[in-house]
Order: sequence, then C-alpha cells, then structure tokens
Amino acid sequence: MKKVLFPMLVLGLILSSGCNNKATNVPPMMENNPVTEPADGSASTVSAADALFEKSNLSETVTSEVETPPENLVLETIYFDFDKDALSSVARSMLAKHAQILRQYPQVRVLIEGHCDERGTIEYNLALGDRRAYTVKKYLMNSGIDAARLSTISYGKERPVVRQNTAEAWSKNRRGEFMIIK
Amino acid sequence: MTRKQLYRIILGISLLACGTVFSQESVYLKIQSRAFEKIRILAHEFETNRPSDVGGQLRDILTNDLRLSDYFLVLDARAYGIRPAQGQNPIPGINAAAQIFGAFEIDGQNVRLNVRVEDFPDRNLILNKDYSGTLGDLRQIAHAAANEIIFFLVGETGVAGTQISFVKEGGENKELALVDYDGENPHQLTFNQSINLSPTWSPSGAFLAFTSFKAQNPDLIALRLSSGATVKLSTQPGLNTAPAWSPDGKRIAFTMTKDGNAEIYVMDVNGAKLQRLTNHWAIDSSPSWSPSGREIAFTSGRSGSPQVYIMSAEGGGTRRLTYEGGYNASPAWSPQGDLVAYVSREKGLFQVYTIEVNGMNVARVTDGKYNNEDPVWAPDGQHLAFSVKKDGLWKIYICARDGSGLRAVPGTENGIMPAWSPLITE
Repeated sequence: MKKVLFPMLVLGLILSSGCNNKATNVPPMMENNPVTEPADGSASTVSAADALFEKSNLSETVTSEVETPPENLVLETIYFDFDKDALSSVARSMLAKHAQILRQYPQVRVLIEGHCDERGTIEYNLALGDRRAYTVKKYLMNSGIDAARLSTISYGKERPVVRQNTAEAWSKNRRGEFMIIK
Repeated sequence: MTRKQLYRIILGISLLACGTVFSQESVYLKIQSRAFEKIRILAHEFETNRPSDVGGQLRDILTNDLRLSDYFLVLDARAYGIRPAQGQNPIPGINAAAQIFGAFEIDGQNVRLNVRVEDFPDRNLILNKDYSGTLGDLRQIAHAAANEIIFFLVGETGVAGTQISFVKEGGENKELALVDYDGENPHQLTFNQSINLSPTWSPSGAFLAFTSFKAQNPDLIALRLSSGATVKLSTQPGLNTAPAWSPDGKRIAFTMTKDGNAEIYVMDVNGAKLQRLTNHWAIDSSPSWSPSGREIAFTSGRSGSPQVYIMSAEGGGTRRLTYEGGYNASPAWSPQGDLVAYVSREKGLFQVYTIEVNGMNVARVTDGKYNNEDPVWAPDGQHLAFSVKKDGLWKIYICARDGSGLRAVPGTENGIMPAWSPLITE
C-alpha cells in the first residue's frame, strides 16, 4: 500500500498545482516524507506546490480527497502480559493495522485507555495503565500518526471488563482500548 | 500519689489477677492470645435521677471505644448482675483491675456526665471528671470520656471520635465517603459520578485531597469537609494521583506522568514551588511522609518489580527498604516514625506488613487468608486501617498494630482506600 500511495500523492500534488487555490487537507504521511523533487523535475511546479502548502490551512475540513470513516469504525483492543507494558508481537501487528486505518482516515482522533488486572495495588496500577497507554501512543506515533490525534488515559484496575478473579478474566482486563473521537 | 504510681498499681493488680485466673478464663485467654495483656475493667450501669436511655447510649459508646482501643477487656457489670452500689465492696470472682462508674443528668437539651474510674479492689481514684454538652453531642461526650480513661490507665492517646474517609464502590463509579471510626454515621462526600480515589487528610482535619476522574482525567482535587466545596490542585495531562499531605500541612506530595513517566513531585498546596523528587525511568508512586516531614517513603519499580524505598523530602538519598517478597507497595509511615506499614504480595494476595525504618523486623499483620490493600495508621500510631476482601466483599477493617483485634468498621461495605483522620482537636 505504501509503495503505491506515495507516487499517487506526488501526482496529486502536481495536478493540484495547476488548479486554483483550493485548500487541501495534507495527508499525515506528507509531513514525514516531504516532496523534494516532483516526478517531472519541474522547478516551477515545486515552488507552486510550496506556495500552496504555505497558504493552505492544515486544519480545514475534509475534501473529496480524504475518506470519511465508517460509522462503525472500531479499533480492536490489544492485550498485555502481566505486570508489563511492553508490546507483544501480536499487539504490534494489531497496532500496525490500527496505524493503517488511522492513516486512511486522517481526521479520526483516538483516546487510548490503559488498563490493568486486579492483582497490583490501585495506585501502582494507575501508573502501569498510564505506561501501557503511552507505549501504544508511541508505537502509533512511530508509525506516522500525528501525536495531536492520540490522547491517553489510565484507569488502572478500576474499569475491568470481567469482574472475576480468574486468570482468564485477568488476561482480558490487561488491555489497551481505543475510543474513536470523530 | 503520682499518676505513674497509680499506673504501676493498676498494672501490678492486673498481672496478679491474671495469675489467679480460673480454668474457664484460661480457655478464653488461649483463643485471644493477647487478652492477658489487656486491662480488665468492669463497667457499671450509668445512674441518673430519672429513667432515660441516654445512660445506656453513653455507656455503650464509651465501652465500645474502650474495646476498640485494644487495651481493655471490658466486663459488663449488668451481665454479672452487679449493681453500681455493689461496686463499693470487693466482688468475688470478678478479676477486674479497675471499674467505671457513671452518673448523668439531663436538663432540657443539655446533658452532664460524671465519670469515675477507680482501681480495684483498693478503690483508689484514678479519674473523676465531668463532661457536658447537648443531647446531640452524646457521642462526643462518650468519646471524650473514653479517651481520658485510655490516657489515665494506659498512658496512650485514644482515637475515639476520629473518622475514617474511604472510597465506596457503586457500579461504575467510586465516590469518597466518611464514617466515624466506630462505624457511626457513614455518609457520602462526593457526588460527581466518576471514579474518585486515594483520599488523604490535611493535618488540621479540615480538608481531604484526592484524585478524581470527573473531568475525564485523573486530577488532584481538594475538598473542604465543612462545606463540600472542591478546588483543583493539579490537572496536568496524565496522572495526578496518590496524594500525601505533608505533616506541617503546607505541601502535598503526589505522582504525575506529565514528564513522560510516573514520578513523585512535591508542591505547596496552592501549587507553588512544584519540585520533582524522583528521576528514574521506572514507576515511582504512592508517597508517604515521615512524621518529621524530612523523608518520604514510596513505591518504585526500579529494581524490576514494585518495592518500598525511602528518600529525602528534597529528593535524593534514595535507599531501598523492602527486600523480602517480589511485590511490596503502598507504604504508610507510622505517626511515631518507627515503622512503615505496606502490603506484600504472597500467593496472589496482598498481606499487610510492618517494617522498621532501618529495614529490620519485617512483621506480618494480616493472617494470609484474604486480600488486603492500602494500610493507613490511626493518629495514635497503635492501630491500622486497611481494606479487606472477604467473601467477595471489600470492607474497611481496623486492628492493633500487631494485627490483633481485627474487626470490620460497620457501614463500609464496598469500601476501599481508607484514610484515618487526625485526632479530634476540640
């Protein structure tokens, strides 16, 4: 997907530089991969594109170039090992998919919730939940998602999904949950 | 005769009395192994000029206070069929070291109580004091009398009349609540329909600081108890949790993650002079001040798992306190400064322990059967309160510092995270 998207965006730039000054929403990927040379090598196209970016208001709302997310958009919960905030390989692959979705719908913002199972103390688990949420946020940022789109909160062990003291319940409670903010 | 000499007489008598205990009593003593150290005190029915149940109420509150103190074995004279007048003569078979007489008068809305405590059988006067107030003050009158009896007979400060703040769970929310230490008058303090945690008292007893998720972030809030009004203390993004009010009342230590990691900070109550005390990539939380205000005990994950550490209240000078057990957390420094209480995870459950501040004498307080969290000290330094999960239900329990006398505080069902008020300062 990445290999196709970038040239397409460059092409879009070149095409839009010839149009009137319509403000466009800048896809997040562009911030990390600035255009240094357009495909056709034209210096005048680059400066027109630069001018376009300088004029454009990056916070303007969606145009037809950006997809609106579906109403039932859900980012699946990821899970953590006991007493750990590190991401398992399963968690990382799921987060990679989340990052893809977030790139696809650039105006979507997410609240990342960090949770713990009941076996630690209340106060220590508030901090552990915060670390878990932050670890997820960092991973998504490293995948190119703007930090401004990602907020975090820890509930420690105060909001379990399963209120039982079994290993299965605990494994379901040690989680990072995603609340979509559209 | 000085008070100290009286003490020695009382203690001497009670030890003598223990030596003449009969076989039925010795069964009782075996069950409650610390009972032989308790002072046996006979409580007479309170007398008055006109029939009233006020006397019974005063006596019930007072004798309950004496029992809760864990210093006394209170014998009910009525249960033995003994009238107060009979206290004039030595009573065979009752091995009491002292006896309590009470006489009260009601005048309209006012009540006056006279409490007389004598040693036994010589009948030396230990205490003879009047207490007065309105009928609405009955509890305070009884508590004041109990505290004086405790002080005169044991030499310790009583905590009758203190209060315990705690967190009450109800569905999705957790609200702050307050109850008298003897279970009287449990009531809710916050009504913000969110998660509220970690109450801590100001040394004056006028305020509680706590963490609230009311604004969709764990923020640090102060509550004025007299009015219920709240004010925000710290609302940084991330955690503003685990507050601990300094012993001089001027500062609050707490945890924030605003700098990327859970660290302990100290600030003046008004937010000025914010200072970061810890500087480590691991989680640092749950600060607890020494009574001198010069040191802070806290939980840190820096060794790889949570352990209790002590540092200077200026930051630095950090040393590890706990070495036994793989998860030690929630430190609470005793008011005398000699011990730190904490919880240690064993076989998946937390047990309450105490350790001397030099790291010696790790002593277990709870018996291993249930899960226990968040120990705090009573202002006398002789009692602890903590939450216990028994039969699936959390309640606040109190006990003596060695774990004896463990009992639930009535009215604290679904209660966690206790905080014991300062001494009442009337």
